[in-house]
Amino acid sequence: MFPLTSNAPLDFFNMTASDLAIVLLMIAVFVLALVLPYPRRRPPKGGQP
Amino acid sequence: MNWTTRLRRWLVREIPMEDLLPDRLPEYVHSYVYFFGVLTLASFLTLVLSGIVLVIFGPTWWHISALGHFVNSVHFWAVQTFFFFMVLHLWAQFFMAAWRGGRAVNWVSGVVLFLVSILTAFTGFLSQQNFDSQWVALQGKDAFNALGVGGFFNILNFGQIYGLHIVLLPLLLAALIGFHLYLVRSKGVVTPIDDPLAPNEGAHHDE
Repeated sequence: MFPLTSNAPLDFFNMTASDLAIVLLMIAVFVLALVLPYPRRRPPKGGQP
Repeated sequence: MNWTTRLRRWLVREIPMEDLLPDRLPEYVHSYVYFFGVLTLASFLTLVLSGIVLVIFGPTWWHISALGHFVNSVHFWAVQTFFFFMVLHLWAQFFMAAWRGGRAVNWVSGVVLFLVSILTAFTGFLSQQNFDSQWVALQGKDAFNALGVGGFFNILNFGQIYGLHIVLLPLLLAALIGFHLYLVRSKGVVTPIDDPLAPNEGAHHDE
């Protein structure tokens, strides 16, 4: 597995563990922003929105 | 008609106050995906404010005093959030094809902003004057010489790089950000892809 406690370069893209952690965090935040529900307006009854 | 009248009419037509400071936005703007741009902007404002304090007191202060360390760290971490949210903003705009509906120039201005931000961050890294930054300056000079611009940008010259970092590049960034925001407010926020409730694409001042 990746040497997550060291700063040694990983095999791909010369990534260090901290680089990988940041990329994973960004992907996590992005996916969360996509899937988290947000407040939606209720459509008004019998009128133009 | 003189030029001030023409300018005023153009401003009123392009960015009327209800578009410049809107109190109603489309419902989908509540989605967190639309949040990354303004987080990037907030980071930029933090950078400008902490940067002004650093400039006033100077390198010795930010290297030696406790308060200097703190403001220096605020500046450093604001850069991290600036790029973190800028890249998330880039992903969000890419996956919703935000160049739709006559917004191509805004997409291009965002790309230019990204590149200028990288230059600003690079000159900022060089301005730290710690051992890491000296090492990067020593290594980076070869790249600049290879590009043929070593005669114009001597990245081992702290005064030159610092001047670029605190005056020219921030002014360029602020101007580009102003242009970017003007286009957002003028064209309206891009609609989600495949949203049947979204107004027509390309609609000026869509609500």
